Amino acid sequence: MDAFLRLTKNKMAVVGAIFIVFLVIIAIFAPYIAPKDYSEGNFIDNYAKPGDDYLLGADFMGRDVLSRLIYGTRISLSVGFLGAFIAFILGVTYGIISGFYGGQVDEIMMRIVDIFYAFPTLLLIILLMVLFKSNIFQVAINNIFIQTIIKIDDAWGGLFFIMIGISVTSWVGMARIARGLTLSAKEKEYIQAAIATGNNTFRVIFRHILPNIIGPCIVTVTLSIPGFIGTEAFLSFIGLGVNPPTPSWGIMISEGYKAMQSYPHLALYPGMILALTMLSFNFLGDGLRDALDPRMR
Amino acid sequence: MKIVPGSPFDTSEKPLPKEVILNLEKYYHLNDPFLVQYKTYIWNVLHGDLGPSYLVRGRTVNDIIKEHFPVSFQLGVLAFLIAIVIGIPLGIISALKQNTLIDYICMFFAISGVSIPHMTLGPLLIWIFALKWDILPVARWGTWQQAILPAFALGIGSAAIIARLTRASMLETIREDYIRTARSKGVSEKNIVIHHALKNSLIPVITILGPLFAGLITGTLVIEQIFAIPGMGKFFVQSVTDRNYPVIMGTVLLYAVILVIANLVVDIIYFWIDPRIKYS
Repeated sequence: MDAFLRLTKNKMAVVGAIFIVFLVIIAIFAPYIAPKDYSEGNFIDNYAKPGDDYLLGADFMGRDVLSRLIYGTRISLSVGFLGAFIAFILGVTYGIISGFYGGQVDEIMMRIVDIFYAFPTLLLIILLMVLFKSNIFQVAINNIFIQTIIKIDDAWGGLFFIMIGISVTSWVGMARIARGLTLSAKEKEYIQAAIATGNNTFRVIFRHILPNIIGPCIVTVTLSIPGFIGTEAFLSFIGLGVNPPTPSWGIMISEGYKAMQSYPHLALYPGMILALTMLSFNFLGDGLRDALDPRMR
Repeated sequence: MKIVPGSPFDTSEKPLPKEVILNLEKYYHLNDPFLVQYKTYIWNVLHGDLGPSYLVRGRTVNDIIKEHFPVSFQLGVLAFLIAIVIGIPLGIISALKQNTLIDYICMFFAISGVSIPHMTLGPLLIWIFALKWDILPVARWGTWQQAILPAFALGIGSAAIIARLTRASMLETIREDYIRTARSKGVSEKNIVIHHALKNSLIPVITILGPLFAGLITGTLVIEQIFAIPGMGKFFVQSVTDRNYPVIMGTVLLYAVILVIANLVVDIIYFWIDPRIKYS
């Protein structure tokens, strides 16, 4: 409660949080808010200027920019939140186990992390995307499991494989932080006392270690959300992201900058929203850090 | 990398005849055992030959690098200089005026700079300077006017990182005892900053300059696309989708070499800026 009060005193963090809540509402109620369909364009209205009919104009296929922006919120936020969720669950679990048991277990688990760390993240994600998106892969491995996954991916507009690509690389940093925190928490007297009084391992981990390391972990994960959103936008920008009819801010920018000279608004609106979203998460993360750990000031 | 299914000669629309593929594979030694391929590759690299590009016959990776790398390099260096020239003074000023309006403005700029991705900043700068005010060219590469916008678009993010770091380390430095001593001796505030605080506070900043420099030279992909600059960036992605193995390996190797050199230079600068750091 103390931390929450401190957070509400930080104006920038509150503004960021309000903006994020606003985006979440938009994403949930997208079908009711969006004035037009996001994938069906009217070819008469190619490059329509912002006006009465199209509030923010129409793109090169006559699709309503505002509606595409609204649906794009769904893509960016789900990548951000799901990526954070997966990184958090995987990373924290892995880090706590590694840090708590120590010794050989720690040694082996951390070497595995090192191996993942050694890959250049972007190259790995691009490779994974190329692999997942290639027809050869989808045809060659012809069993029910893979086919189901591909169906899921299609239903999500190509988001599923982006999630896998981001998750594979993102939990590693989290695991390292969680391990470090666990190592230092383990040496504290109250943990020693908890063990000495005969609590079993699960109880020690969940009741005593987890609450003490969760703060910095939440901060780290909040600050990593803009990174995930940026990665998705980047992948969509270079053409390895979501499947084309799905509106992603990255795709909208990459379609928009090609007509930059005549219709700058096509690249500017999605760019602005993207920047504002990332900015809000950064403000919120910074605010959380100050609130949860007053010593950092 | 070669484990990824698919070959450089897969074309989805018009499949090549089997004989042609076999011949191509033989020509590029793709049928040799993996270890043999690796050995010849290393041997060739040591002799300065990065191999052929599978996409266009007669074009080697060396050609690609020779033609396109200087562009990326110039852009990266320019952006790097901009980042330093903007970032370090901003950090110092906001540290000296801590918790004043100037400080808040500088730090707001810094957080925004970190959060705004290249793909927003590029179009934004074009819109303001090239379309609204019409003082700089929109895109392409060649004259110095054309270099300004992409260099800024690339450099501002790094400038923000440098500013934040400089501020933090400067704040720490000006609370040290020797600064208080200098002050009590009556050294002017300007002299304290320039002669006493600056050098000591720059050490953590210099540490990140190495990776930052490598990142600027390598991370130009989006900017190059938006500004239609013929740099290395697009080969990086294109070669992966094409399974153009020698080009992937060549570019990654080039970037690794740059990173190593950048870090080496950082180590040398350490020594020059702080003689206490010794390598034994």
